[in-house]
Amino acid sequence: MIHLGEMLSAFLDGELTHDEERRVTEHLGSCEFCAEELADLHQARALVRSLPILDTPGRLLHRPDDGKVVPLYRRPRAWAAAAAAALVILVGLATVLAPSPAGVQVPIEDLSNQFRARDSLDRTFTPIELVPVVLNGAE
Amino acid sequence: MSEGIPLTWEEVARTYGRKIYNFAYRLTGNPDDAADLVQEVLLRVKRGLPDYVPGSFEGWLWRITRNAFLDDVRRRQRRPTAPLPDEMDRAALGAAPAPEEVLARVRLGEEVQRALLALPYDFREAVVLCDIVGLSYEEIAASVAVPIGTVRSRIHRGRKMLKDKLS
Repeated sequence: MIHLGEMLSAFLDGELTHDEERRVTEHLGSCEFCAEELADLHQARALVRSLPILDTPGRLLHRPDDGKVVPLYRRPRAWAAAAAAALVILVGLATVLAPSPAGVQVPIEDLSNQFRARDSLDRTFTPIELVPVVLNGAE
Repeated sequence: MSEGIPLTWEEVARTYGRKIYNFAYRLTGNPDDAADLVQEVLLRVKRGLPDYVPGSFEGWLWRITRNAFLDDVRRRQRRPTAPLPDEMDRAALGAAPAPEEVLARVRLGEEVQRALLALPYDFREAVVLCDIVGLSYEEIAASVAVPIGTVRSRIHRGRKMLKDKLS
């Protein structure tokens, strides 16, 4: 009797045509040798499939850039941070010190929030004490 | 798998990063080598995506993966023999089963991994692509560039060798 051999693995994997599957099934009904081999193959396959699927280290899934892995968030350079801080202060001072047109309200909370936001991002930043000022120029 | 082809690097990384990592890990038994491979493959994908011609995406991706792996092996000029680190498997086992069960599964996993590493490369690769990555015979044939009959034969013989080693 000719045995099924590698057709058995293909049978397990659903890689046979309908006709081939039918022939294998018929053969298995009358061949103990092939039935045992099928059971062995099934066990080997189950063992490999039982191996745990490991999580990819998260650092690998950031966009690569010329061979280097670049983190999603890059710390701003020191000079850029200093420039940003200076700009915030200048804009703030200009807003506070410039003569306001009559009746225009400068929302002091906005100015204060800018400093608070900066404070929470940069531990080395020392916020300025803000004193509420009435800026109702015309009155 | 021709539908839902990921078109951006991020989609490839998200969809296939884990599979590539597990492919490499099961072929080498070494988490560092596996991590290096994922990085290299994703870099090659990034370079190659603009030129990718729609077709078998799986075949394209796994050809890149396989080539990157073989290049790496050639460069290192060594065969992977590192043992399976316990903590990797434990971390992957998920929601806290009983300690004895964890131990049994880790030991079984180690045995299976050792048996895999003992297979000749062609057979190990075919078995891992089929049973870990989950590719069809046709996709494996496209990735490895061999006829489908060779894939069938390698998977079959690989499983028989595994069974002998684990008995």
